[in-house]
Amino acid sequence: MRLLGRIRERGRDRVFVLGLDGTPHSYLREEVAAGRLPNLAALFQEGSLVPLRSSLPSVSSTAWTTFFTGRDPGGHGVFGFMDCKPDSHDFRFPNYQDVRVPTIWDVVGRSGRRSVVLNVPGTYPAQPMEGVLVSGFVAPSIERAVHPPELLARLRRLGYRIDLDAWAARGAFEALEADLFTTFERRVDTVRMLLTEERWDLFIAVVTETDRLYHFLWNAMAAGEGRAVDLFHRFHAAIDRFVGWLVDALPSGTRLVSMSDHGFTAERMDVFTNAWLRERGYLAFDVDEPKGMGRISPASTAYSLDPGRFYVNRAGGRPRGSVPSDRADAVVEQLAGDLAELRDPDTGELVYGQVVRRDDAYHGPYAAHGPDLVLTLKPGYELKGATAARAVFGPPAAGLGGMHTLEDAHLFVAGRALREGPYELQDLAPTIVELLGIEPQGFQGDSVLDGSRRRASPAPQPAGVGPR
Amino acid sequence: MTIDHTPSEPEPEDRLADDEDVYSPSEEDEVAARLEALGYLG
Repeated sequence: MRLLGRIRERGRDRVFVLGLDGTPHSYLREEVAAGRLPNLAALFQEGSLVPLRSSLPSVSSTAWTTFFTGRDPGGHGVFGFMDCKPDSHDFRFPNYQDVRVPTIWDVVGRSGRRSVVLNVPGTYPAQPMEGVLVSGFVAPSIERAVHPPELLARLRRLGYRIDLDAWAARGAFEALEADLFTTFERRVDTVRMLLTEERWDLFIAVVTETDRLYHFLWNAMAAGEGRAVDLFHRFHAAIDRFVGWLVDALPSGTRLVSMSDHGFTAERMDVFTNAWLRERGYLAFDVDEPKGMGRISPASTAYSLDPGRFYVNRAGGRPRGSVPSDRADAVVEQLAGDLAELRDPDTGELVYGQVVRRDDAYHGPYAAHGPDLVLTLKPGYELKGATAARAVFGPPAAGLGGMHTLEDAHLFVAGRALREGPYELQDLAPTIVELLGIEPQGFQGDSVLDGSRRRASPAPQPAGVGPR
Repeated sequence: MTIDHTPSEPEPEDRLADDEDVYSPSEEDEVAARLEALGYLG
């Protein structure tokens, strides 16, 4: 009861958000029940641990932007790691400059308070804000990942790493193990430094090492392979020790929130959506082995981007677009019907979970830029947008074995009862500002706190087609 | 000072038109490589 006891002392309102990228609610529950996470178990006794629903799609760039804006992708404009440029089908990589709506730390700053934001994906390049920000994935360099710039020298002294070396770690157990712990230890050292040296009201620290471990070794762990299981136990024990230290170190009056941006599960089979579109006659390229979407044939009626985003190849801004606006709805309906028949080639079973139309999934000024359809599949079937793939189904790529899930992210809020669920990722921003005593206005999500000053309204639920 | 990302929400087309220089060509390659390592792009 040590954290709750100090909360009751009612010092200044502060919130610390611990982000554990990809850590599922179900996995946390299982590990706590097995007695392997004693500090988290004690913490979870002091509040509410609930399952959380991710964004659509549930990739980190989209999910974390949903978290820190309190809006769905139609409200913030980040639909995935890549998009086609507005004047061609060449890829571009959406980044923090795309986000033109207020973030949690903007709202906190406007109220005269200060934030520390460490390693939140989707925040590169760093921009001025009231406090400190160190960008997370996919920041290609540390130099433009830090605000204020004076912080850079302090990070370098700690040997801070934005991310582990994923190519070196993929398929190389010892390299993964070493990099995983080193990157985490230096991130923890940075949390310790910022916690004591910076003035803050809101502190957000994200651990992305969890997501990397899961991408590479979830299948092995789930299959009971000894060294993978052992590494999972040891790495989560390190997180648990950090939580134990954190609970003792936080100033009185601090509310601790733990959350993840999506869940994780075993990856049984990859499903290549552009190969499926080619097989069905929706998509063609002007080259045999396309890299990216730049050489899409103008005869194409649809294309797909990671993961499970389907776009009608509309005529208009892109020279290789060809479908007139009055035919677009017919293409969408045909696609939705065909996707509903997607079957496992081995078992013949239908594999899809939902096909969600744009108007049902996205709300806000950027909704028109979203995909016409978003496909989700049953757990175990991983959607891939690779353009060069010719086979629709295949095993996970070498070194990879784990996939995101839309459901089963986690949320924990210390010391507060929560309203009835469901709980959505976009609900966290209004929740956090309310914990800081700020009126949660201007968000699409609703505070999850019981008795919230802003009465929760039912979040729009994606309306799919076919079986759920 | 706090920067308001959206004093008035911009038109989506404006947003897409003015951010092409965030990544240099070598940084774009680096971003693509990091995404590929986790199974995206491909």
